[in-house]
Amino acid sequence: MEVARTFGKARPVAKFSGVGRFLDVLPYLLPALLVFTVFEYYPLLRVIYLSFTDADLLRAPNWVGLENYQQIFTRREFHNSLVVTTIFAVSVTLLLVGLGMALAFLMNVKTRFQSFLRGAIFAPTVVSVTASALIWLHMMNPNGGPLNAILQALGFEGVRWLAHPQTALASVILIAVWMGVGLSAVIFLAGLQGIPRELEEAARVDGASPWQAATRITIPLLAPTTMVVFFLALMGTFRSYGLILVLNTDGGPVGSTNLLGWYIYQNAFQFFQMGYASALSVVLLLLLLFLAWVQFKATEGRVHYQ
Amino acid sequence: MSKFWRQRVLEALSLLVGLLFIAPLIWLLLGAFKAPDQLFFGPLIPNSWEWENFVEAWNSAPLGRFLLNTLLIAGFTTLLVVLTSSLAAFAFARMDFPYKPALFLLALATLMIPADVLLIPNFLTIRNFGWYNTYWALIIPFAASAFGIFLLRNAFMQTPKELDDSAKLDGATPLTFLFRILMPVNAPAISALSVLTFLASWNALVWPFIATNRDEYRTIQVGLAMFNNIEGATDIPVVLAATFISVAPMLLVYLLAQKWFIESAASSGLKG
Repeated sequence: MEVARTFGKARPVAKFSGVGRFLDVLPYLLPALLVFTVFEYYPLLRVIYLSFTDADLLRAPNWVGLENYQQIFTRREFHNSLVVTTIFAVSVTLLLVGLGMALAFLMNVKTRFQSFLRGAIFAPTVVSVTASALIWLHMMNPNGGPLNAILQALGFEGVRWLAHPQTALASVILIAVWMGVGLSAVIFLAGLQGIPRELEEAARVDGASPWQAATRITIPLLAPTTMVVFFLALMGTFRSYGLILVLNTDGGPVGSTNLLGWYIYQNAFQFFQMGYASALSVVLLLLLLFLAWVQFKATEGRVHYQ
Repeated sequence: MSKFWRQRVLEALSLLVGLLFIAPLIWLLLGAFKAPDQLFFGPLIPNSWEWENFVEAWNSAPLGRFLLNTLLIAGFTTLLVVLTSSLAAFAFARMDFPYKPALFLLALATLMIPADVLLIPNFLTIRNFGWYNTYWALIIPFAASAFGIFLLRNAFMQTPKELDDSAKLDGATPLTFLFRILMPVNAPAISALSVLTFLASWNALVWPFIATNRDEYRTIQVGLAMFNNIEGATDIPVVLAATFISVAPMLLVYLLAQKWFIESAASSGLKG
C-alpha cells in the first residue's frame, strides 16, 4: 500500500512537457529548421535582393535599384501575362468551386455506381501534370484527334484547340479543371458529410423541394468549405504553369497562354534574366500574399465552424 | 417524377460522369496499343494490339532508370519528411521552451511562400553547393514540410498525455517514446502525410526539370516530357505507351487503396 502511494502520487512523474531548456529542444527542431532556413527563409531574402540587381548566370550581380520593377510595369508581355493569368485563375477557380460542389452532391447520392463515381472523379488527381498534359495534347490534335472526332460526329466543326490564340487558353483551362476538380469535389464531399442530415430532411418535411433544400440549407451551410476550396484553388492556379512547360505552347500562340509562372520561368531559365525574373517573382509573391490577406479578412468572423 | 425513375436517372448520371472522367485514361491505354496510322482514324478498340509500342518506348529512352530515380527520390523525400516533421511536431506538441509560439509561426510561415517564387535563388544555391545533377538537389530542399509539422502536431496533441507518463515510468527516453509509441499510435496521420508527400514528389516536374540535365538523374516526369519532344511528332502511340508506364504505378496503388487516398487528400484540403 505504502509503496503504491509513493509511486502513484507523492512524487509526480516528470512529463516530457517539462523539458524547459532550449538546448534540449534544439535537436528536435533543428532538422526541419535547417531545411527551412537554407531553402525557404534565405532564398526569400535572396530573391528580394536579386530583384534589385541585373543578375544573370555568369557575372556577379550589380545593384540597379528599381529598374527591374520599372521594366515590369512598362513591358507589354507582363500586362498580357497578368491578364491571361487572371482569366485562367478565375475561370479555373470558379469551375473548381461550382463543378466541384455539383459533383460532390452527385457523389453523395447512394446509387450502385457511387464508389465507381468517387474513384473515377478523383483518379486524375494521381496523374502527374506531365502525363495529363501529354494525354490531352494528343487528344486535342486538330487533325483527327478524338475530341475533334467527337465534335464532328455531333455535327460541329473541328477546333484548333491549343494551336489557335482564341481557343488555346480555354483548352489549358479544360485540362486544369480535369486535373483539379477531383480534389475540390472530395473536399466538398467531406463538408457535405459534416452537415447533419436532419436539417435538410426537416426542410423537406416542411414542403421544400430538393432544389430549395439544397440552395437554402445545404449550400449556405457549406460556406466554410466553399471558402477553403475557393482560396486553395485561386492560390494554386495563380502560380501553376507546369502544363505550359509540357504542352510546349511556349506561352503562345501570340501570348495567349503566357501564364505568369511561365513568364518567370522563361525569363529566368531561357533568357537568363535572373534579376528581372526575380522582380517578377516578388510581384507574384505580393499578389499571393494579398490574396491570403483577403482570405483572412473574408473568413474572419463570417464563417462559423460548428 | 417517381422515386424509382429519380433513382434510375441519378444512377445513369453517376455512371456517365464517372466514365467521362476516366475517358482520357482509357483513351491513353487503348492508344498505347495502336499502330500510328490507327490512332486517329482507326476504331476505338485497336484491331491489332501493338505490344511493341511498350518495348520501343522502353528501349528508346532509359525509362527504367527514370522510374528508379523517381522511386528513390520520392521514397527518401517521404522518409525524411516524416522524420523531420515527427521530431518537430513532438517538440511543439509535448515540450515547453522559450519562443515556442514564435517558432511555430515561423515554421508555418513557409506555407505562405510558394516554391515557384524561390525557384531562382534555390537554383543558385544548389549550383553553389555543387548539387546540380545530383539526387541531393531533388531531395534535400523538400526534406521538411510545414504542413507535415502542422498535421502531426495536431495528431500528437490529441494523443492522451497518460501515454507519456506510463512510458516515462517504463524508463523510455523521449526518442524511444516518439518512435515506439507516439508515431505508431498516430499511424493514420503519418500514412496520410506519407502518401501526399510521395505523390507530390513522384509527380513533381518544374524543379527536377531545372535541377538536372543528365539522364542519370532525371525523374520519370522530366524524362517523359523530353521523350515527347523527340518522339511526339512522329510516333504518338509510343509516347502514349511511355506515358502509360509513368502513370501505371500510381494508378495501381490508387486502385488498391482508393478510399485511403481520397481521405488523405480531403484532410489536406481541410487543414492546408
